[in-house]
Amino acid sequence: MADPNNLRHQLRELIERDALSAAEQARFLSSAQKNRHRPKIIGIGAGVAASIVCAFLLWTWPDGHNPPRQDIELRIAEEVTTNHTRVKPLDVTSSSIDVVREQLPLLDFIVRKSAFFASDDLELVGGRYCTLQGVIATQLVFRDRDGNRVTLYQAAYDQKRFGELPEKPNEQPVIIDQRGTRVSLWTEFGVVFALAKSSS
Amino acid sequence: MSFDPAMLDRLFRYCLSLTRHRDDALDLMHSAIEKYLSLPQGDIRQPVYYVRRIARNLFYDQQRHAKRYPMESLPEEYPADFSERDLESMVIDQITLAKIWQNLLPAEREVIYLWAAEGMSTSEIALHLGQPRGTVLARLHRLKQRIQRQEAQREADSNG
Repeated sequence: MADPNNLRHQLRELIERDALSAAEQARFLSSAQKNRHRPKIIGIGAGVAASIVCAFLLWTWPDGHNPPRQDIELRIAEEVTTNHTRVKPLDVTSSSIDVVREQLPLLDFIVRKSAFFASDDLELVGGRYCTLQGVIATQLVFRDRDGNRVTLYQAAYDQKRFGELPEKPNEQPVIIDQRGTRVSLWTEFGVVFALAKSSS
Repeated sequence: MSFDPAMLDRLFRYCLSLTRHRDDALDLMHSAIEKYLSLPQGDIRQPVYYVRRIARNLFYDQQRHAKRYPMESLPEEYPADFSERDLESMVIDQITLAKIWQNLLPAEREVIYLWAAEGMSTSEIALHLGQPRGTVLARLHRLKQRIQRQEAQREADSNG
């Protein structure tokens, strides 16, 4: 373990005090995603070749090489639990989902309420930019009737990134309990939802 | 390469070590990432190093145009028995350290960033920056001298 009095460690701590804000992170991720998807004539030939190779690999790849579904869900739940337990400043404070949606314009999906917990009587506190599995996402913060903090994460659903998650309203969410937090995962309207609240 | 939050923070801190000012660091990082994404990326083996290199080149190009910092005037001397361990074992309070950090030249902060935040050895830094190891050691040695001067000053102030 590093000696906390060691100068290298002290300098590292000093340097790591500076970090991008959630909004700056979101802006960079959004800009990088847009730029990456910009068509490039020079890349067309390589793209065609890559598609052929990918198609061949998918055709020949044994099923057992796909990442197990449970691993992906656990990774998402782990990230959500970390975000849930670390309280960070909100980018927008409002009890209106419409206001939150307007104030987070960099998202590449529409922030919306889920029919899944409409009856849970949660009060919206606000929202902020965050990331989920490396893509831009939002964290909505609610309070339940007892004043407990409940957080809901939304990101554009990409099956390759998030795995095959149950789709509401026909399927039940995946529920994972860890480190005192219950995480529910599902998809709705082409958006991945992750709800985190205290397990107790 | 897809950027993740930890990688973006590392790039930001590197840019900040060069520019010292948050807004300038954000601009530099934005330009570097944009340039990186516009390049064919097939044979890039170490993307983080590559983006860092782009940011470095952009920064020094800007500085040359603005003639803002001395580019070649840093002395290269350091005692023959100086090693990075001498620096590592020093103890200093965080406020003084923050003050010293702010007053370093970009080339010094860059070396110290790579040494402290990226955990590189002096040989790795020399390889990464394409500079002689002696230059890297000289920059670390100057940090040691600054710390010693600050400490001496503080002692003199408290005695007098």
